[in-house]
Amino acid sequence: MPRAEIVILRRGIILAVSFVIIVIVIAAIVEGSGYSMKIYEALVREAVNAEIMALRRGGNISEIYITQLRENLTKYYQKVYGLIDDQGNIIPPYMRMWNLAWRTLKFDFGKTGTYSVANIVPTVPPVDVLYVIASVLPRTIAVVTVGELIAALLGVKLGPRIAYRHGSLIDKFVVTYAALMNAVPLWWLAMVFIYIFSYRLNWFPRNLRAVAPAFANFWANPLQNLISILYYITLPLMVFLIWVLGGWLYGFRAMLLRVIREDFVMAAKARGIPEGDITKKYVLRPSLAPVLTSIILALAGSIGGMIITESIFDWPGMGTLYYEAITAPDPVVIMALMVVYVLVYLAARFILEILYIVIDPRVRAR
Amino acid sequence: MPSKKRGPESRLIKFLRGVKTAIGEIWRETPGKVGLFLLIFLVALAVLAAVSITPEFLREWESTSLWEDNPIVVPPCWINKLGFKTPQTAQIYIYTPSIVSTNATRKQANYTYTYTYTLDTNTPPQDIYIKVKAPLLCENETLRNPLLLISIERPDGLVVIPWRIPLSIGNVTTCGALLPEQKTTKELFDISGVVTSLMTHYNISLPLELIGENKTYQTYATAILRSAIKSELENRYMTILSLFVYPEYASITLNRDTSDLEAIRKSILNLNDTISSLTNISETYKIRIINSLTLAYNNLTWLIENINTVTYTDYLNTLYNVSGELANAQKWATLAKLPADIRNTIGDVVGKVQKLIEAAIMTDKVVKPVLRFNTLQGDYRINVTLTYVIREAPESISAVVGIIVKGGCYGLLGTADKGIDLAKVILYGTPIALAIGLVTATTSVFIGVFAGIISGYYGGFIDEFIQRTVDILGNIPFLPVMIIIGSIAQTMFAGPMKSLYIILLYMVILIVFGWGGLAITVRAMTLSIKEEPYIEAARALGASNRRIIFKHIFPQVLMYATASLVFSVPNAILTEAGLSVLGIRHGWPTWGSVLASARAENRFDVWWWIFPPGIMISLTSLTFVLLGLAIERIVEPRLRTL
Repeated sequence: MPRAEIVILRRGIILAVSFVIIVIVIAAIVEGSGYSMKIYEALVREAVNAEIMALRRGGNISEIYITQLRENLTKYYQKVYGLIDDQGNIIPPYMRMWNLAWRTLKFDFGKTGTYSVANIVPTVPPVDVLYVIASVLPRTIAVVTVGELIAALLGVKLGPRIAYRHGSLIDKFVVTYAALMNAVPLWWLAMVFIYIFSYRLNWFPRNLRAVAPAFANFWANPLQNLISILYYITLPLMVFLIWVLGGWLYGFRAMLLRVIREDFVMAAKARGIPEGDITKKYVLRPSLAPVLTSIILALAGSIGGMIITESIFDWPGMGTLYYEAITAPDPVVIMALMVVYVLVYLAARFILEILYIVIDPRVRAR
Repeated sequence: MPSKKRGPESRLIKFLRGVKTAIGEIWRETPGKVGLFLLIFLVALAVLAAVSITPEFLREWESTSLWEDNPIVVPPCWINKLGFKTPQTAQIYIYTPSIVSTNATRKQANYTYTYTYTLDTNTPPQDIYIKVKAPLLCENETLRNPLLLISIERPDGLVVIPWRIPLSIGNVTTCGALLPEQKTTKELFDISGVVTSLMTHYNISLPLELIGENKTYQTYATAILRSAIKSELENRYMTILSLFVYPEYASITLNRDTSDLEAIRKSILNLNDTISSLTNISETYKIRIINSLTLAYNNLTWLIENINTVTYTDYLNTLYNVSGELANAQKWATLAKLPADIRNTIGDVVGKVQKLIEAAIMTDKVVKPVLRFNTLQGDYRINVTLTYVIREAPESISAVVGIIVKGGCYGLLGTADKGIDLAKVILYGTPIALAIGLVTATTSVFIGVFAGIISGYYGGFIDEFIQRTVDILGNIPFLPVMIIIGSIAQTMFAGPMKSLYIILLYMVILIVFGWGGLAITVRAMTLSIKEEPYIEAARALGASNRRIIFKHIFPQVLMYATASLVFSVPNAILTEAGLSVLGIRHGWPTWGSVLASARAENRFDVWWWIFPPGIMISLTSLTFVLLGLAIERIVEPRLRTL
């Protein structure tokens, strides 16, 4: 049996290799397919045309000069956007793909020049991609991660009680509720809530983009900003919580149902130990690993935000950032976001590997 | 050993019997029952849609021309039964005339098509128009095209004739052939005629105590009132809807504002002072000018003092007097060779007075119309008459008359923008959704099962390879990648098959990402089944790997795979809908596309636009979730042996 450190090291290496492979795969999708090349070519054309238009407006310039200038400008911008190398040769997509993968692996994300992307912060381009992500991330954490955490804790708290009452009315209700929430798409539920609470009842604002300043300058006036954030956040947080809670309740119920049928739980019950103590000592303890796994992976996944739902609410978080980056389109931001998603997820898995050893005596003993 | 003859048939019967028992098992519990009911409902809808859908509809369901006769963004008609009031929608096509009158001596034949529209709400409908396709008739080698005349008998007894259009021949030359379709438009609407009819019918006349006796001035005031009515109908009722309204109140008031008059009076007073102080001009002229100015001044003063009681006639007469006196003053001033600046000042004042007169005659500056229109409820008899100048007219003609009234409700599920019939689109979305979901789920489960069995059964390098692939796929964020690929696909494909290719690409990506989870579970199951003694026995008897996999392992995994298949059907449907909502469109009429258009138009306030497609998506998902739960319960005991 290998020692714990070696196990962790081995898992770490596998995850690191996965990371490299995934970055290459994503680079292949973004660059290898010619997707971003098309975008950059359009950007070059646009920039060159804009400069020449400005020049033409300035006065009478000979056409020969303009043709010459257009050629030079095109070369210049192609180099800026990395379409040609120093010798003026076109860089083929597969080379660009490796370049992008290499830069990404060095965590060199660069700057974005897209207005709609910078607008989420809100600021004006060019702006560091990492700065954009860092300003947007708290807003997603406030809704998705917090929502996920609240729902998970509720699940831990209520899950055992539901599992004990297997087959009762409340159990049936939870199963129905979970099945319903599993069937209803979150983004549609968001539309329904917007219709009811924003349009019909007029309780909540319709434009949630306006929450951005309250996050950006939070420490300038914490109390007032907190109230402002609460005003904007209630609707998306409520929708998300209602939707995600079904899954957590059902998941924990199923997980614990398996445990409470074990002999040692039966024995504890036979000894007349109160339900609360059974839960703490005999039920939650052995299911700690799967419970922690699902919570940590869910929290890691929540960093990415809810792309569709955030864009429905126009909530200026990670999801909307991704949406704007796709519609712009802005390959730099798309790539950076992808890396953040993958990295956070892999990091969470690595943390779990360590946690398994810490919490599970059987693994520790190996 | 079973005899070979019965082989395939008995296998089929065995399979069917198996299916029957499985359905019986599913039926036993409530979720299964509800799931089966929903499934039958969805399949029925899908069959209905699949039978009636056309390739044209798939391509052109978002074009405006397909839905031009529908009202725009209106709720379904059944809300009227819930107590809401919306004007009815009528899309009537009439093929036989209700009255035919031919008159050989007068060389005329009239074919009249009649439809009665009932308006029972306070709001008029969105629009009304008539579409006519009439034949070209011939007599002695001469082509006869008809005159289209539409008269509407309103509930108030008024008959208006809003349209009178000679149908153009176009390039039709064959007798009896249908002429190009003629649609009655706003531009061809005889708004002046309608205004006249309304004014006569409702006796809209001027209060003479305000206008005075002068006939010319009465004509002026009438014209002002008339044009006010016309512009109200044109702007507030979009011309055509004037058919459905009546003037509840229409009269005038006089504007008693004196500021302009006082300004002129002040200028005259100033002029008077300036001219009086002049010394180097002839006294005669001076006296005459001063006299004229004084008269003008006195007239104005009288008007200002009595402004609250004067009539329109008094007002205009006084202004004419003032203007006349000032003109006199101007004449004497020229003869007296007054300094140019003084003469210009007099000219300015004259101009100002004339402008006031003009404004009083031409605009509503003095005569202020007060109008209140209301919707006229009741039965509207719409008569569409085709008149041919022809001696020997046929008994019947092959004309088609379409009477379109765009009301405030439509069909079973209402309409979206462009008048899209939501019931139709949602119906046609069913087979597409089911096909996407089922094909994707089946394929990915198939791959997952076999990858899992191979991985578990053979082990070694293959196992390691498959497991690592699953691992890497599992770490790639699915939705973001799907979104990128979706937006790449939009520019990648072109041509008439674009939508199909995009959807197929979605399905391929879903399959690529979809098989991994199942492969891991099936591998675990295979690993434990592999160790069972009967497998060893089979191997000892010389059974091939293929036989062991298909005979012994696959059947055991099958039920679990079925549950997994059923559970994963909604994945593809939800993904397709989600991508559509994000604005990554494929072009087919899916439920997601309907929600996408609601989002693109930012109409989350229209419940009939956002609720039904979402309910259909959720219902489809729910169907498979419930069926999956039911199947899982059957599988569970076997799962627990693991």
